[in-house]
Amino acid sequence: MSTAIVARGLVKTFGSTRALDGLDLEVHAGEVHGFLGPNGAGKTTTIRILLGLLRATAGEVRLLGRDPWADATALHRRLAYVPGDVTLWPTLTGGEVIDLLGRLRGGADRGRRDELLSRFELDPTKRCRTYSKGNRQKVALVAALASDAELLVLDEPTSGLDPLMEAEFGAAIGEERARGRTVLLSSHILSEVETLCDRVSIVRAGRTVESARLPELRRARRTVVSAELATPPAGLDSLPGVHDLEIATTADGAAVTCRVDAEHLDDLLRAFAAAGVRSLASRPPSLEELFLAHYRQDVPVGAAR
Amino acid sequence: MTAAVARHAIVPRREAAFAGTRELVRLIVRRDRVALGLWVILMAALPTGLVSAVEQGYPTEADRVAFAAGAAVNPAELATRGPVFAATVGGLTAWTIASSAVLLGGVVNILLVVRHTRAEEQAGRRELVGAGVLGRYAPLAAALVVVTVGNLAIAALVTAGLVAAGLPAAGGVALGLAIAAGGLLFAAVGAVAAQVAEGTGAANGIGFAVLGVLFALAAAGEVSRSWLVWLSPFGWSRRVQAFAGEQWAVFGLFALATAVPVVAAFVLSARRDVGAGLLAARPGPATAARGLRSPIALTWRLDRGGILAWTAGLTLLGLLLGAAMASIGDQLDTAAFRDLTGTLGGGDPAEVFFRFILYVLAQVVTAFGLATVLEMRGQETGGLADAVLATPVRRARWAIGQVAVAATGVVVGLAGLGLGAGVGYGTPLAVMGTTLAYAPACLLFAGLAVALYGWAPRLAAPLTWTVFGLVLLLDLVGEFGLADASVLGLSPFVRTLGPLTVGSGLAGALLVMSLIAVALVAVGLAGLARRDLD
Repeated sequence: MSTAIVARGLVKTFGSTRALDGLDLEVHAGEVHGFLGPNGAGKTTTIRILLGLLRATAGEVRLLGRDPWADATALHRRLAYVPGDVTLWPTLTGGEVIDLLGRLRGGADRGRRDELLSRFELDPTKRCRTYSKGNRQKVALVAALASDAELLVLDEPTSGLDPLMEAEFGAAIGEERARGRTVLLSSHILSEVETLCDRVSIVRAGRTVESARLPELRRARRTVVSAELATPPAGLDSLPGVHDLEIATTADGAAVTCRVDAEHLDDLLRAFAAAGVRSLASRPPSLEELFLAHYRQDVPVGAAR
Repeated sequence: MTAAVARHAIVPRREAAFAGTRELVRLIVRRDRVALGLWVILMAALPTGLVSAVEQGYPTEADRVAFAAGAAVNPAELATRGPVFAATVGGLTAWTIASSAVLLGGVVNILLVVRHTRAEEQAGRRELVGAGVLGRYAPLAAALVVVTVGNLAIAALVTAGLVAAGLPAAGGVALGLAIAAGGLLFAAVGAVAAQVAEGTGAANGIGFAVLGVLFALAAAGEVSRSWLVWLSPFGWSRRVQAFAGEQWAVFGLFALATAVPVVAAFVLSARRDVGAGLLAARPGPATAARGLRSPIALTWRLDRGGILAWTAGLTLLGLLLGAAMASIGDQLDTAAFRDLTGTLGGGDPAEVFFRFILYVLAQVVTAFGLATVLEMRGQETGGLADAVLATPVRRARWAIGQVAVAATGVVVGLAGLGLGAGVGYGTPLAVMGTTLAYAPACLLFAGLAVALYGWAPRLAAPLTWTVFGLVLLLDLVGEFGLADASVLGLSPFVRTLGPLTVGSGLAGALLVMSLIAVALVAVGLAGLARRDLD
């Protein structure tokens, strides 16, 4: 199986609210897939459809090759889920909850459970009502990671973790990828997605607006270039594919910053060379810029920096 | 550090301690304005409505005197309502409503106070509010202010309604105040429970347990005609003697018994950490017990404490009632009582007594079953259902776990009640059959709750409780002969009591009700499998 999740034209309405409006999602087996979008974009609704808790109003969805609504129980043997807002039974201890969820899923690895508990520094003897948000999140994470499920569905799993635990989480996800597990990671923490994910899908108002590998995404966007030149360059503003051009004349030359479409980078560099390059820096657009480009379309790409 | 300094640190300065009370009162009123309004109006309408029921059911003085004579020798009426002090329209109205209103008002007041104190802390909202300018005493003070105003409004409206119905003003004031005083006393009980327990459920449980024990004390005291009645606000609410030579001094007992727990609650609230209770949570097991591996095991693990405490309470209540019956066995065997039992199917006086008092208690057991079944909705909206249903557990299996535990609570509770009563009376096991006969009626309501939960989850709780309330109201109306037999027959409790009284057709009735209950559960499960989870 090469595709773990396929959703096409997914629509979900709640009364007059249209939470999903033709959402597409494709997650390949064995990849860590970032599911990006701001609050209310439809990430959690999509995940709840994937879990068979909600039924899609329209559209097609397959999870591990099966229908998540009709085959929910069978599919749940093969996946583990960490909700975004973890609520636990207040009178049970964290250890009890981890064991219970593991057994309901058909058994978990005891050694791995204990290893994860010490890695995440979680005290399993405490009652769940005394846990902080981060600790509740750890309970759900340990329960999911200790299972042998082939698909992990994680809904904003680090939203309550401290930076140390966030790093630990990142390492754990790296190991899961190495073990061949598929991970769907919903998040709006861009740096996290940037370091952990192979591919990302960006959703906005219930639709997928972008879905690709990170390098492809970057290639499709303008690179930011800044250079110090020996002489003021001529004709830059007439070059195709150059945007947001700023030229400042200095005592001994000129400082130029601009954004350029990937296919026109060549022409720009030639123009720079003609003017004499003293220093040159270029960086690909950050995920944040890509993200903002989709969400604040009135703002030019890169304007956040 | 001197003692004076330490004391100063513990007890906050007065004006600062109450800062923000007014804002919190407004917040409570804003959040609960509909429920508070309904509570006041319904509680106020009940006594006035009863006046016309008494007038229609017992139009002449002779009718009323005959009814009072019957009630005086019926231990079930004595246990739940106490003696009739005057066979007048006012006297009978007060007799009918005083205990029920205190019981109902007690439940509402406990729920309200806990909801605005402990529940707020548990949800973490208290911290958000408390970070503003808010005194340590303010949350409790605000909750008590709201319920005090509510209870006083009820007292005023009850008085106005009764006077408008043509009854003497003094009696109207006395009955209105008795209902309000009973409510306030249990608000104070709820306030202490909210300080002692760390969880909302436990706080409500403590409050209801106190309510149950005080009701049982009064019941035992009335039946055995002993001083025990003076230990319970239920006894006091009757001995205010509204419309029968009002005893105003009894309100002193209410005042004292309310002031002590209120002061205790304030002192406790200033001495503990926000979020903590006096009964601190202890560390628990690091691993789950071997058996905790299914939804039913999970529900049992969560609810077993409540069910065991509840069963112990019902058994104790049974013991008290049984012992009280045993102590007055001979006094019961009067011509008047034989007359009464003759029309009710006859038999051993104790059996008749249990038949009737169980009729009332079965309704209480039903409420427990309903609350347990409806926990499903809370788990669904709270996200706890997701955690289980994202594992390979079918929805039906999850719901059946909850229903099975609720049914167990109902059956075990009824059995404990019957066993206690039997042991107390000296005939173990004999009464248990009668108590268990009510199980299908109780479970039918649980089935209704499941059916509604499956198809109309948002309406399930309000609709189920409304139907349950209407059936209880039907019984009250039925007592005054205002409802037709065919209408009364809609009540599963009447369907059980009838065959029990006549002595035949019981098995068939129980079978039919059981089948309906099972069918309702099946309908609910089918709906649950089809719908979205919130």
